[in-house]
Amino acid sequence: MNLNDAQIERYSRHIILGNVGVEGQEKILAGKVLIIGTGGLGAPVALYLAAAGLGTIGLVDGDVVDLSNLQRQVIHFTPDVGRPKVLSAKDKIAAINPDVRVITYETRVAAANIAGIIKDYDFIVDGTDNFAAKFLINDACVLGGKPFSHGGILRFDGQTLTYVPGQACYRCVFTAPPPKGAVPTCSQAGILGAVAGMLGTIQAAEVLRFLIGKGELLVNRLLVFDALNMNFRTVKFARNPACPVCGERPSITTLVDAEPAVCDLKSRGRG
Amino acid sequence: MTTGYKIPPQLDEEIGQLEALIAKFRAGAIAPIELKVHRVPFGVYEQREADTYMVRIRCVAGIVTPGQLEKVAAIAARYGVGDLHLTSRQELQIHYVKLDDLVAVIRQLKEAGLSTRGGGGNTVRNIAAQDDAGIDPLEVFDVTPYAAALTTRLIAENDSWNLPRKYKIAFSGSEHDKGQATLADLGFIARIVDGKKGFRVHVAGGLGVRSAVGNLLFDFVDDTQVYPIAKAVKNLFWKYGNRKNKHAARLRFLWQGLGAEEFKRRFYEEFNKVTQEGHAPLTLDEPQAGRAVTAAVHPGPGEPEFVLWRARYVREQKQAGLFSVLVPVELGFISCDGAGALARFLGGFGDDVVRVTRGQNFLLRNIPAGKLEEVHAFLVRVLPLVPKPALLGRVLSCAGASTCQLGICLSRQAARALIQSLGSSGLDLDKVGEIRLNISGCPNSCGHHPAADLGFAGKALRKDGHMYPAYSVYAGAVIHDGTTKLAALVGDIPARAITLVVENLLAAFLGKADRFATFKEYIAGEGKDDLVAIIARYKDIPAFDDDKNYYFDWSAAKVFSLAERGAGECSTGLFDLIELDLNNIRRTREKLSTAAADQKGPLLGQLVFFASRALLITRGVEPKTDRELYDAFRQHFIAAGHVDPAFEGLVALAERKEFDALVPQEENIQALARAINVLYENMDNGFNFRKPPVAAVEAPVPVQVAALAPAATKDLRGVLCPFNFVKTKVELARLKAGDLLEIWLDDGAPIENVPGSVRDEGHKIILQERQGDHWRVVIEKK
Repeated sequence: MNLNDAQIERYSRHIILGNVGVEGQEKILAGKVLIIGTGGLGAPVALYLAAAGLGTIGLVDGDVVDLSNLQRQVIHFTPDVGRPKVLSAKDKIAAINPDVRVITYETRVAAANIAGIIKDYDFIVDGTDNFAAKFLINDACVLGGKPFSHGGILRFDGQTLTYVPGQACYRCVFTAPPPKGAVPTCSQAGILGAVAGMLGTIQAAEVLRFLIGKGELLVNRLLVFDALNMNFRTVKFARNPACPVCGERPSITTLVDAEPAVCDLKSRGRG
Repeated sequence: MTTGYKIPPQLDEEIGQLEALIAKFRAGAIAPIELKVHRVPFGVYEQREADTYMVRIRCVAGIVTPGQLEKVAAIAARYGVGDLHLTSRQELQIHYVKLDDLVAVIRQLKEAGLSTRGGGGNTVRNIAAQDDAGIDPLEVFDVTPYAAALTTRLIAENDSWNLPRKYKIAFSGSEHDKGQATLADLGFIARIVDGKKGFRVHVAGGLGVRSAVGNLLFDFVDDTQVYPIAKAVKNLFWKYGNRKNKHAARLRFLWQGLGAEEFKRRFYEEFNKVTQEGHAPLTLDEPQAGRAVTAAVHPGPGEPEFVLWRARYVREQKQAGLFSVLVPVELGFISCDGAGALARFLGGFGDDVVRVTRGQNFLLRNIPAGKLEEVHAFLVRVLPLVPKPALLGRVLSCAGASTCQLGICLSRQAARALIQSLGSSGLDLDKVGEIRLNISGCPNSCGHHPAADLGFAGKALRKDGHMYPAYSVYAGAVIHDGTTKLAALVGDIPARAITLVVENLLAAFLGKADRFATFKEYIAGEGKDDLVAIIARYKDIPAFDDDKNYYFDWSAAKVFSLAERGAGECSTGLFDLIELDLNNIRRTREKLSTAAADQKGPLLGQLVFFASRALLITRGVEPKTDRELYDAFRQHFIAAGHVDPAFEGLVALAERKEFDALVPQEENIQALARAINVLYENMDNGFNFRKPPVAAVEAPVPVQVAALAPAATKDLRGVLCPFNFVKTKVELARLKAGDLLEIWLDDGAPIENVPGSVRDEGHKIILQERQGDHWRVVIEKK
């Protein structure tokens, strides 16, 4: 791949970077990344990856833009209310960087479709808002041998970890979804919009670092932060031999849909 | 009865503050450095083993009562590692105390009437006095009460804990200066003039980096002036001392900086102020009155072991019928059990019975003749050196590189080896008399080598590129009021030879003992020549491949290296290594001046090699390969801006051993060598390079390297920052490792920024030269 002059100029700040350079930018331009959920997390991930020149971005979301989304889902604008999120997002990506190829999936991931959707991508980003989807994405990625970035936010808190095949997975730490009602959803508990941006941007940085192969990913580490007091820390963990999906005697060998937690206070759309 | 100092009333509050800080530190609320600045003045040093601390206990004039010693031993046994250490400034130390136990230790010491305040840091340190103050037949009067009262006063003053550097005070009872008052920041030597008690006062002496003998401040002051003088010196130091550079902060540097006259003028300014303030006189305890011992019963000569021991260790006091006994403690280490047993044993002899000596031993005092056999019988059971010649207990060493960041050599291990080898040497050590055998692990003098009859200071030397541990040998110190002089450097030996050099010199001395009454006289006479000859015999070492033993320090499991030393720490030991290369440069230049044309290339290569290596050690780099060497030179000297980038082409050619291409560059290579010399001349003790005067800097002629054939050339004139760098990277991405890329850059920001950025990414700048209004830069891809 030879960069043209416009590309050299567009990506010059990446090329200058010691750990990216021409070689790293070429890897980004060749990358294929799937973003599941085009909401609070998916929005910043998609924006930064588009700006970075990612080759192919897949977007999965079955919802339409709701007025209450705009407080944090920065890829959607006021005139987009009522439009499918994946189309709204696709337009913005094209406006930022016409080089990026966008593939949209106007659906929710489920046991029946997820394996087919993720199979063509180098890396998966979990930007969903419910535990059922998070565990499904984990299991699908473990069984399909795909690296992914997990992200979760609530109120002022965020957490993220990165899975790569052979290392600890989300279930090694969190064996199963919490009981229904034990953990509130965003729409019940609220979320500081900027927290979604903070965590999504961290996930975007993980994707880029994965693609260029530099630095230590958040593998076998859980990054948690409390944006109310602005404390960050990482917690180390190891692969769990008793993990139900990646352990020595896995009990999960095929994908199954769990019942998603229902957002009680939801009026329209999803949080 | 002479007692030690009195605990100041604010100590409780200060311990409380320390406790609160430790709690905050534990909670992560404060950084380690914040704790450190409070901890060190409390006499608490962190040890190399994480989370363990050394606690240094103030014992003025070495005074400790048996009751206190027993408590300290019990505290050390409970919270430490099982032994106590005696310091060369007459203190007791407990090692390996856990952070969470520190406050308990300090509180329990306080209950025993002991303080650790001022045990370390930039404070008024333990006030020393000659070991046998109060009992010495030669002394004019007992200086102990002055040392104790001055301590009590100074440790109650809050400005004693935050001085520019440490402040060490010492007292001697006579011109023999057994307290080493002429080697202290402030030294008092007892005199009586016209029936009045008083002192000769010396100032701004001390051992350390650039040791110095004290300067006479007062020929005689009466004894009421001790406090005003000590206070005025403290105020002077506080006001004018160098707080920025701790390597040049001791009082002696202030003296050197100001000159005698200005120093004294400022001193009198402070002294007059103190006098006008009108401070209460020191409260002196009654000096020890010679206890009357009636008709000491001499129980006959006794067993031969006792007789020998008595001759070695027992001395008569000025008080008739009472004796002092030196208790040899190997390198100052005594087990807690041993110290506790000693304390209990001494309990029956009253409180004024033991002091810690500057030689890291105990000196018992006030022992009646009739009790000596009992003392002997006890000591033999507790301390292994007691049945041996006194010389072995006198060997003094600092902690050395095993625990000290500054250390170069393992001085303590060398001292142990020396004690062992002397003990089994067959020499009649009882005939050698009192010899100060002092070993420092580096030139910083903590092992007191400048005050030694025979002293050693650790250094690193190199043979065929391999570094090995070595010692500079010093001899002939004189310590006496008015004539004190530091030991003189005689030569260098490999560390491995230290035992042989000492044994041979002592043997030579014993062979001439009929002509020289003391070792001191011998050294002043023929001894020095003998020492020179002995050093010459052991100076050379085998090549690394023939015998690696010389490249290991005493008791070391790894080949000697300086790599683990704290970076940037100043040590004159490293200066020797630099001088070595500067000499190499000088010699290579001499050879060049007479070399035939066809021999010049390799010599020029060597010149670049030595010039590139000479100052690397100041950056903590010990290159093992040529590649490491040149890369480090590029990084630390060219990229860091100390050496003109125009020399980079020479470095590349020397590294590639393209000697033929170097021949036309002779002028430039000479300029590079001169540039290194200029840098060295303008380097301070902290290894910082001051800007040399403009006249000293030569503008090098750009190196024309015709032999270089770039794989690609890119004209980046007119391309602004940072796109010129971006395009350079794009071009480099197309090349293979080792390929050369030539780029043309505009003057100004492009040439100032792009080569540095390229270098930061690990590529090499082979050449950088001006071409009219622009620059030609040749890069080798990494």
